[in-house]
Amino acid sequence: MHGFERTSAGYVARLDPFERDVLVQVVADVAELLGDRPLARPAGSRYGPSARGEDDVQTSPGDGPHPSPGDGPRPDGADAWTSLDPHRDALEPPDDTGVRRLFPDASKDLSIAAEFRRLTEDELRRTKRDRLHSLWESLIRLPFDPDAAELEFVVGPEQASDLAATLTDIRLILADRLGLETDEDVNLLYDELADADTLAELDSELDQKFAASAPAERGAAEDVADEVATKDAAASDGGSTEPALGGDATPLGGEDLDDPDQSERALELEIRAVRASLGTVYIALTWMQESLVEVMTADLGD
Amino acid sequence: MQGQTELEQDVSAAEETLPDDAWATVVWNDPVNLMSYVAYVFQSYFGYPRERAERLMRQVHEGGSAVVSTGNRETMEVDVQAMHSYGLWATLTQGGR
Repeated sequence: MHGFERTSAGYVARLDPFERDVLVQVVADVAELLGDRPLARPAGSRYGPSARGEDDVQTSPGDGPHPSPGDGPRPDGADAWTSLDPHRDALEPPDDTGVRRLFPDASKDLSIAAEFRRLTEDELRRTKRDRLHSLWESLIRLPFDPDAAELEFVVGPEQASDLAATLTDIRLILADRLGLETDEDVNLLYDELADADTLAELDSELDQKFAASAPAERGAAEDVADEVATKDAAASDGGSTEPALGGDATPLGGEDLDDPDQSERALELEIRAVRASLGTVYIALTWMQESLVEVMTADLGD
Repeated sequence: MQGQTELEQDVSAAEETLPDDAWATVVWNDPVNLMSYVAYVFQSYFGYPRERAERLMRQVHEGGSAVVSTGNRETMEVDVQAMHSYGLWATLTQGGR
């Protein structure tokens, strides 16, 4: 990946096809989390399209497609009570902590917060969904050349602010899944992923497990996609009992499942691998946004 | 992110200088938003000069929050909605409440 640079054609970043595929999956997942219709994933992905609203994020892919949340303002049908204004339904805050961060309470005064949510959340949701949708469209349209090492991602200066905002939304969701609540948490993630020895050890042990028990290839992109749609599994403290790992949570299991120690170790490895994948995407998107904001700010002047 | 107690303390601190009936838009620190992006938002949305936008950004980052605009309630609602659209964590307050 090469960060954004200012050229005569606009702001230009470069991605390799794998990076693009990962990004497409993450964008599609976040869009669905906000109630968008299912968006296509890169061809060949085992992570097939399925509608996932906030309240069925742990749905097994094996269950097949669910009804689309459609174009309604809220995928979770939040109409538990009606406000004094009979023409408008009140909105409860989103259940999903990541989604809630995108639509935070606008006041600690609950009545002001509720009023604000009623007036603004639908529109904000549409704005955020539309921006994600545009990014998804741009990414899948980057021409694929099997011989090219990288794809060119050109963004016009007039679209750059929307892109920077949508990168923020995606990073906020990823940060929620990674359990990043303080600056220190973020620093620890960077340290964790910078520790090449730990990652190499993890890779090697995972490879052995895959060879022993899982015939299917499972790519990092699929891990990432599962985790965006799945709450809490990748938070560093999420591995205590039964973390939700999406529908195919046992690629490492195989015969080892009969042995509790082996099974626990396999689960721990899976969680660490998922966290590493998700963390890598978070850091890549941070870097991409930094480069974009730098060229945008330069063009704003003083 | 900060807990409710911290949030209440910071709101009080941030609003000491405001008249009782003034509404304000407060932006809160979070571990995800980039300092450069927050300054960009203040500069491009509010039209603040670079220097002022960066000073407010530092106040958010180092002090936990900053009042970024004041005015009537309707205007502040528009500003808070815009901040949420940018992905910033913002609240609407009146005279310290």
